[in-house]
Amino acid sequence: MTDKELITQAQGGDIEAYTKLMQLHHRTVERFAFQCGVHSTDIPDITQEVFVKIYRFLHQFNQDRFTTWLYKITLNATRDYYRKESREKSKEEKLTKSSARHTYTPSAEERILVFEEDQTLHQAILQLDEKYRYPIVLYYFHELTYEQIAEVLNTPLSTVKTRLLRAKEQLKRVLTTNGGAESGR
Amino acid sequence: MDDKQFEDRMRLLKKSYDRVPSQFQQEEIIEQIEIEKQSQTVDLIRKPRKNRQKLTIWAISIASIFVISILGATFILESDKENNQGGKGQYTLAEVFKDVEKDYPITREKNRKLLKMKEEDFAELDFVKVADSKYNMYKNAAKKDAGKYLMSAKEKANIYDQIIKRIQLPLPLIVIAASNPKKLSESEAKKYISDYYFRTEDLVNYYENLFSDYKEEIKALSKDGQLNEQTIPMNRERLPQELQDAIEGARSQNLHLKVVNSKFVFAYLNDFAVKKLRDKISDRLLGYLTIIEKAPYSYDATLLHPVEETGNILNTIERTLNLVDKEEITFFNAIEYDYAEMAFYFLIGSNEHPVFDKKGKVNQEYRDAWQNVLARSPKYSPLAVYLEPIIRDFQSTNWTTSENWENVLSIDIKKVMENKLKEASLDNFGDEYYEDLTIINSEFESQNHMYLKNTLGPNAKALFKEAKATDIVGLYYNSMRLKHFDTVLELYAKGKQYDIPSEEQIMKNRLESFEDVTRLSDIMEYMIFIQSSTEKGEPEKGIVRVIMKKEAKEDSIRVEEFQLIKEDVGWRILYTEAQ
Repeated sequence: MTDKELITQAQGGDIEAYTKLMQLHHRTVERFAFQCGVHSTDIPDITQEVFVKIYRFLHQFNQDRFTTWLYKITLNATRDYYRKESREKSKEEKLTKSSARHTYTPSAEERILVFEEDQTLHQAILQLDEKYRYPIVLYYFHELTYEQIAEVLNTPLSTVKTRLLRAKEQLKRVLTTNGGAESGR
Repeated sequence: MDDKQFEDRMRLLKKSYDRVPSQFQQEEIIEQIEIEKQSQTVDLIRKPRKNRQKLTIWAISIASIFVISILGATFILESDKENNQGGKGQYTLAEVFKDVEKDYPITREKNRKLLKMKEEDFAELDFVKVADSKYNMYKNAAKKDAGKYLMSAKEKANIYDQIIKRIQLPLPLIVIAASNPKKLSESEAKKYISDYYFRTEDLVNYYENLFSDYKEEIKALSKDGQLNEQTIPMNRERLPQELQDAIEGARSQNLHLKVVNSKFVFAYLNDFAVKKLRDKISDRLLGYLTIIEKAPYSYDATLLHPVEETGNILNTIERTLNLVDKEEITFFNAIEYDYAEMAFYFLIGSNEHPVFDKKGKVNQEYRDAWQNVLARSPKYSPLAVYLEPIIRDFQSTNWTTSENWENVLSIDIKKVMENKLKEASLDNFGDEYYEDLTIINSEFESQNHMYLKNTLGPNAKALFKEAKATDIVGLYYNSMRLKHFDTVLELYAKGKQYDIPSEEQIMKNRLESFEDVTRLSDIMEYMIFIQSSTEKGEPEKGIVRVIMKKEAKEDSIRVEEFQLIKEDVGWRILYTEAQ
């Protein structure tokens, strides 16, 4: 059954159809959220928020491509996450300001990106300003066309092209500084 | 690193992302959906949902509302309705729109011609798209208006100005701001600064894309096939007409073309906006204009300004950026990024300005620039974190080696900067300062629902006493929505020195648009609570800012602000007359 058919059924109140739709797309949400910088432990929350929100507005859905909508909603959910995250961090920093103790345990992120060069590149992508980060992630890891990216980000096509170009340049610079192209596996 | 190597690295990373573990909790999601469905049913029974577009909470007189968006047609109708009731209005929307309809297309066409752009390109610029959509929105509203609502002459003039201002090019926008007889308020100034930046950025994007499209044709014009600073001026007349027009159009907006490392870059010709607005905005905010007009700062690992000037720009950024601007200066993050990049090359040098001379010693220009910047650095300077140990190392080795210099990473600079901004912000507000962010989600809503349900119960007093300031504001919206005026009244501060609104005043301030709301999360993104510093013996005070959800067609954020005070019974809202 296609996305469109599942959506039509879900719009009619068929929760099973909606479950199927979630099963088809939850990996996209999880991966996209991680690539945008969401900690792996918070991904279930984001995924829940995305699918609850989609269900809430399902009756308004009349676009042809479900995934474009899915990316838009995930993007907003990750933005909210950032806002919350940065505030919490700031509070945390205030509380632990006087503490000088640091312990090291490998993060969940390090367990996912086992190669150092992947971690470097992943970090470099996360350090990009969001206007550069999202086009790069959507283009390289989700294989969206320029037009689709423009639609997801609500940005003109020409801007998407420029931003991809600039993002690429910035990443290449970081990679060159951090060991160059040869540091492969 | 060439393109192929880069693509390979990205391909490998994409593969690694497959290892992101799936933690999909299907049952929990379905359960959450069921809960929402049930609560929606309850709301729907209480109040049928109407058109959400009407939801604009402009005239809440208890809240000082600072709005960073243009008036919507709905507002015209809503605010006009009030005027009509008060008997002040004399113009219908159709009459209000008449002058706009005459002048908007003329101004738009004049601007397009000034930029020498084709209509299809001009219409694609972001700010033109927004301006056109607002204009059409008013046009449609004016057509449908049957003269039911009336507006005052002042409102008529305001609407005219707002719509025409939308289509202004960056430079005229600054001229308009400068023509203001009084000093601009902080909010007004930030709005002009943001608009100036984004409209110019739109143009720069367009021009840089256009020149990239013609790169090969331009290369063919130079003898050695290389692009340099002279290629364009030397061959100006041989350029395709579209490019000649673009150069002229860009110049009309204070932009000129540069070639850096064989790439086309558009830069500001001079500090036009800074000069124009020097007396109109505060010195600190003027810093944002100084920063903007120095852009671009670096390109392709090359600093575009001399080392000393780069140091000055970095210093200006450090003195200007303040977290309080983050909501309104919409390019705040972009400056953070630019700062980190510029600071990186300022520290490690670039191809055109290497740090070391032929003898392996640090060049004098870097020694001077670093020491100058350090001497002038503000208390929370990210750059000082690096410069202090680097200069110390170099001085002890006769300017030949520094371990700290070897370890500079651009990624770290951004982090250091974020931390310094937070530290500065905490310091500004003193020890008493406290800031908290609350996302308006289902958790907040169910908590608020609980307060609402218990307003008349035996535990009401104790509950209200414990409620956070943001809960009180949430409760205010919910009570207004459901016309629980007794509860609204209870939410105001009762101290002798404060005004207490009558039920009539509350009723008057209640817009019909509240009826459209069934969930706060449909209209609100989040709330920020900022507690002000408290004098000894004085009650605690604070501000709650409500950041409203952006409507799809709006290009700006609406923020509503409430002042609160902590009385014996808990946080309460201060009543103020309509703004």
